[in-house]
Amino acid sequence: MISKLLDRLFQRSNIPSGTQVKHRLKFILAHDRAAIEPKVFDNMRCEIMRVVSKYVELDEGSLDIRLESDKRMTALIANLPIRMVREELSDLVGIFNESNVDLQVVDDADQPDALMLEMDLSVEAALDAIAAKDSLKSTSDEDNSVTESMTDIDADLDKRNTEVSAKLRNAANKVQDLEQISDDEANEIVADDAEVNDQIDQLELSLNLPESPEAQEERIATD
Amino acid sequence: MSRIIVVTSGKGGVGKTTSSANLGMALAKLGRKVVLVDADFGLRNLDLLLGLENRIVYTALEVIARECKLDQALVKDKRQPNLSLLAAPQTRNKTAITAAHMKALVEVLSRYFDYVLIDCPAGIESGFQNAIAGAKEAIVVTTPEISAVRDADRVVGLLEANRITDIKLILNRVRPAMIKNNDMMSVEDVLDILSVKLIGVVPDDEQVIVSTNKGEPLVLSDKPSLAGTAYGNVAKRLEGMDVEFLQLEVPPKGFFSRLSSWISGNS
Repeated sequence: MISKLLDRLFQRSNIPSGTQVKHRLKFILAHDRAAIEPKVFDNMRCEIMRVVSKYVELDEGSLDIRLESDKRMTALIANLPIRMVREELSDLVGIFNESNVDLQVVDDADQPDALMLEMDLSVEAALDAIAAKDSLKSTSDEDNSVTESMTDIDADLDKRNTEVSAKLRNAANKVQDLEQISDDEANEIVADDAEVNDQIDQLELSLNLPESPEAQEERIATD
Repeated sequence: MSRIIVVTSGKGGVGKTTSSANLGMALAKLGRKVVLVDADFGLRNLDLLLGLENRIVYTALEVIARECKLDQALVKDKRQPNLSLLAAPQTRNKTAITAAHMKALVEVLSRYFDYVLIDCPAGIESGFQNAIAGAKEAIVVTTPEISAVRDADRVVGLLEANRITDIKLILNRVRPAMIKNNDMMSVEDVLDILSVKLIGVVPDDEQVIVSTNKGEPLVLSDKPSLAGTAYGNVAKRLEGMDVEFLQLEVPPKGFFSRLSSWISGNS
């Protein structure tokens, strides 16, 4: 009892455990909620940079691509400062013939729409990363019957659709916030909700299913 | 329009089954027809908490295997005829049941009952996926401890990813004295972190263990303890009634007991 009394008298300044636990939890949850493997994230970052660099010269020293989590929503935040727009831009239009959205972006490129492009590309990269992760999974589970994996893929696709649209909406909000903060940064055009929604539809349409085991077998057989 | 609600938590031992049993009983007492579905296949416990363990002949597994009819597997509580239980199998291989089976089962049940409450197993693997398959709403149970809150957060994320967006929170085992001392996260702290709608705050209560020993849910007694009252209030809130949260206050102490607890650090 005496030792407890002494403890009590000399440890008055200690931080109460209730405060500590709250800080620890918030830190843990930020990581938990942004559940993406470091390697996948790194791949995604490299690919975003590669694609964006086709159109504009990036200031590689001050690139910033990261995940942020707030109120159950995780967003991919990319800040890619542009040094200059590449001259031979019009030659690249052909690459995106299959998608109207991308064509539009390139058409408007008289005044390069950096943020729109940035958002589009990061979403595409994120989708690729998810698809890559899924196909990894499906190759490791190849003993599963074909029908089972097909229904799994369907379910995954649904899930992915909702996740992606949530992320896109969040990204749009963040873009708006960003604009208010840095008005002086040129080339920042904010996409309004309608446009973003259009893009969501387009993106949902352009989601690629990983090749089914059935198709893989067929291909191997014909080879 | 009947409601299909899954009671889940991620972490084990935070009071899912206790909450399911008490909510089921409380809703039945309010005059609703309730069926409790134990989805913890292989580790069933809900029957014990309800004191119905000796009356179980068939379980969900026999229903799915078409070895018995659904109403043969439903055990009606004699103390409260509005309440029925569909037990989980205890012995056989639990992989025999799929999410599609569970979904079909709860959908059929929802035609005959006002509430289908599904007691989810701990964890987030197949048992969890099966349990949430047919659910339209969820009640997440957690305690003000770091591991329980973390797991609850994960479960909320998974529920949302599975399109269950109507999610409510029961904060269990709250100890007002520790909160007052800032040695436990407060109700507000947990809500701030999880950002889920609160539907109940249940204090830590020894009577929970006593009621489990007897197989009588707390809410069954005429003079329920504090935790029993709290569960009764959750049921009323589920019914759309506006019930104030219990004021959980530390009982005032005499001078000497305050002094001695100050010295020993438990004030």
